[in-house]
Amino acid sequence: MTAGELTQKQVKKGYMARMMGASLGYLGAVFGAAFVIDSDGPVNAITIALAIVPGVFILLMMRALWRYIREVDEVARHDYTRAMMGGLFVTVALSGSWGLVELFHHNLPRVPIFWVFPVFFLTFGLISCLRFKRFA
Amino acid sequence: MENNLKALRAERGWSQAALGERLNISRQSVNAIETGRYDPSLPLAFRIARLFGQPIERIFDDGAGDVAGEEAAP
Repeated sequence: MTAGELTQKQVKKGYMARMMGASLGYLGAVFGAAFVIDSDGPVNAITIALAIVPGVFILLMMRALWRYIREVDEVARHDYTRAMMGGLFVTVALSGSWGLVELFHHNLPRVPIFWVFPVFFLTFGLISCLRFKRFA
Repeated sequence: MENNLKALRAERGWSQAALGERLNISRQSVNAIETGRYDPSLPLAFRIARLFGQPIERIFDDGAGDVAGEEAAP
């Protein structure tokens, strides 16, 4: 370990702080926007700006994850990268498949694109948990 | 790839967490390397070798035998 290099405990602690902050901000922004915006009301610059705010926290979560992947040790990086690929494959497969179903059946209910992000993080989280369950 | 990391660690009486702290990797990562689930990169393998004061090939075995010895054999 070289001088200035973070320990794994520091890396995890920093990641948890950044991710928790961004997650809470995301939840607050989503519920705040849902409370303020009347979805059947007129669209204007303010309602669009409010609806975009949760997206800022999504970017912050992605940045926290990116930084973690760069700082964490190589074994965890390998596992997290595989879990992210798994989450990505599941999300792309589900959204792509259902997208085709919607494309060919106009009377079916539309699934909001909003769900892409939670589905990705859910599958990524589940696959990551398998690693810790097996090697804890 | 097989390795004798667990035996070397046991000789020194170190826990997986203690070895992880010396290498700056997590306990789970030490476990993954010991059980052969993950083969370390060359930089990490060198760090492990230096920590135990042994050449890499005495800690890790890829099962291919001694290449240098094979070349020297008639």
